[in-house]
Amino acid sequence: MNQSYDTSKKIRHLLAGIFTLSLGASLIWLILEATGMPLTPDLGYVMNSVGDTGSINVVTAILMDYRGFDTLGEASVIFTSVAVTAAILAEPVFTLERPILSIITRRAIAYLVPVFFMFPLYVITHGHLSPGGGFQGGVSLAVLVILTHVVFGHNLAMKKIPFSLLTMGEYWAALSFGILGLLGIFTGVGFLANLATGVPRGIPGQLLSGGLIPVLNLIVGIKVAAGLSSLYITLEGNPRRKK
Amino acid sequence: MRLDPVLLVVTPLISAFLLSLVKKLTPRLAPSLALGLSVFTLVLSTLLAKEVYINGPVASYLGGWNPRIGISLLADQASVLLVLLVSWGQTLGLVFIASYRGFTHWPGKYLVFSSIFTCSLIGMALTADLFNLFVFIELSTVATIGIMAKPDRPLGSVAGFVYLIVASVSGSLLLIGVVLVYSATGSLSMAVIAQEIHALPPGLYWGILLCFTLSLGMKFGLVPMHFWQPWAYHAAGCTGAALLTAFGMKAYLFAFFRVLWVPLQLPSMAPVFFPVLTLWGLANIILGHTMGLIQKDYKKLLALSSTAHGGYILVAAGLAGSMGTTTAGLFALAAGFFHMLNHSLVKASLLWVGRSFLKQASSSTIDVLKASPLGTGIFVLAALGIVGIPPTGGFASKLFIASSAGTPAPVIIIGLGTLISLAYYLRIYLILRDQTSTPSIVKSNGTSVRELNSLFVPGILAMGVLFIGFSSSIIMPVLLNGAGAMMDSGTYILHVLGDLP
Repeated sequence: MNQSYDTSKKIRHLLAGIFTLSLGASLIWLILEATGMPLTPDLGYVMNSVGDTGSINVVTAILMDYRGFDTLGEASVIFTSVAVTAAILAEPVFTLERPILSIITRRAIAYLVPVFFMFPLYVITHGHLSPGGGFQGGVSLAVLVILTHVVFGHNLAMKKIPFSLLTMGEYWAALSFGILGLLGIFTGVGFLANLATGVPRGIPGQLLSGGLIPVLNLIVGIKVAAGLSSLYITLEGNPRRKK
Repeated sequence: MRLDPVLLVVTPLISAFLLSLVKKLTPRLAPSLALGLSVFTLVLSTLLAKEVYINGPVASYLGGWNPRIGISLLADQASVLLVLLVSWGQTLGLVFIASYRGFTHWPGKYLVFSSIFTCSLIGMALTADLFNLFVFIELSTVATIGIMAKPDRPLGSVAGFVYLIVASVSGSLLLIGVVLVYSATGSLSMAVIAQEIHALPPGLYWGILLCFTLSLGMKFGLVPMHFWQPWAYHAAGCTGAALLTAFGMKAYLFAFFRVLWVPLQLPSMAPVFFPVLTLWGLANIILGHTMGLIQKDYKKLLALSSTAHGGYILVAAGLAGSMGTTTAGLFALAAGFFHMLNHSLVKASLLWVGRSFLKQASSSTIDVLKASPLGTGIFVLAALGIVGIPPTGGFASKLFIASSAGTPAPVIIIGLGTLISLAYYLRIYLILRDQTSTPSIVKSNGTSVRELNSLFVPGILAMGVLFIGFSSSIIMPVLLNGAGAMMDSGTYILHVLGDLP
């Protein structure tokens, strides 16, 4: 009986392998077919984005201006995921009540945290000038929050960065993203419009340029940072709620 | 100035953010605020529908960009119907919860998730951009998990996880489809793709078609990819399950039809796929109903019945596509829309009235369900509607779909499905009749009053089934208009690309 079970298992594995390989092969073939099509000429993203949006970073121009609505949608996906995780995980999963790292590490990190803080801040505020932006900077900020939790333990980290600050930050940032978008509706241009609403463009290449793009970067940065770090804290759990 | 369709997407989204904040600061205010905002969305959608039906489709250009480089939305005669349906669904869902829970304190984050869910469904209906469609589908996936998973129900988390895996596969397939379309045509706008797609080699085209069909099929329960639905609806609780099946499933079907007719240009590119869809729909009917027949759980049975009814709608669309934009073709698709409307009403009614049966029995096993006489009455009316007994809307819609079929096979299968569903609803009725719970005298805490109140919304919905049955001659012309807008991709392209240089 055991032997027939093993054989049927082997056959199933073989079939699954063949299925997966043929699926992968057909996908590669499809991608080759699609990329083999004649390239469509640039729609104007590269040529016009500086004039259109005031941002010298084309990627940011697309993310925050041409397709800002998708960014709002994706930010809402993070927002909802955080809420869902919090709703499901009412019980703590992992907890680090007290610091587990040695005093040397803790002191060293304590001095380094302000320095670490500069990087995400730069990435967020210079999103329209150099690679980066709200999403990337926000993730780096969240990593800093996670770092404090890992190094200093849950209790101290929660005292320094209260959970309510994170949730409030996330809610307010989400709300202001939506409301900022309405500016375009009131000026009659369209939701999430940027320069067309009449906000000053600034001189492309300078910190204060790109119309609303830096503001959106800041909002998305706060939202992503707050969202991802509260996601971590929910997964880590609160020891005081431990059974 | 015309009403901007984007407001219909933004209102529920901002509502969700606002409600999270209000729930944190003054939780008691949240339910009434949610209802107010939901009614506001409903008013907006009514205004938009009126505007579209009087003055024609309205396009919205996000950020004011040309649809070739930016994102655009289009509210046409077809999409406003779905927007109306979804906003009614959200409002009725909130009224239903308020009817048994009052307005004081609602635990959990249902308010936030239902708002996000509404936003995503409306977005799926209105968007004229393929990647934007993907974003809204992702958003609805996450919101769906929120609606079905609750910490006090471990099964909900398991179902949520199963759904997450299914949705990840579905999302990956959709994204692959979008990437293939984008790299082949150089655009994400459905209108532009519709113009460019004719240059694609057949192999690539069929690959893309398969990606979209499988991906969206997983979402609306195309057999055999419907297996997650019984578990999900079982876990979700009656209130949430009604949102998922009565309204969510319709939005996925609608998005699927839009993708087939506009960007993929199925009628001219691969008309042979329409008969396949009809056959697939028939398989859904047979498999959904027979699996329902042997099902012992009330919510799982209703989930399988949804699989079957998705099949009816698919059959209607398949027939419509095979016949093209002729009177018969338009009639077939309008019949499918009519079936969507009917199914939304009855399924929400059955699930919401079922909540009181389940509550009184403390179980969802059919054999032990208990009902009050009024509850049984509502169940019978809704069941007549879903089986398709005259004069309910279900009879009209099934008759319309069957009469569109030129061959006898679909008629026989639709008839057979009706008989099977009659058998299982009759079985539930007989159990409910024998296990009538005596209407208890009002308890001091008012629980039985609340249980009685909870029958209000399902009762109204069940009456609605009768109403649409009688007024099918008034509703059908509107739906024919909608079907026309869905099948006429030329007008769609003109309205998206025409207003801008």
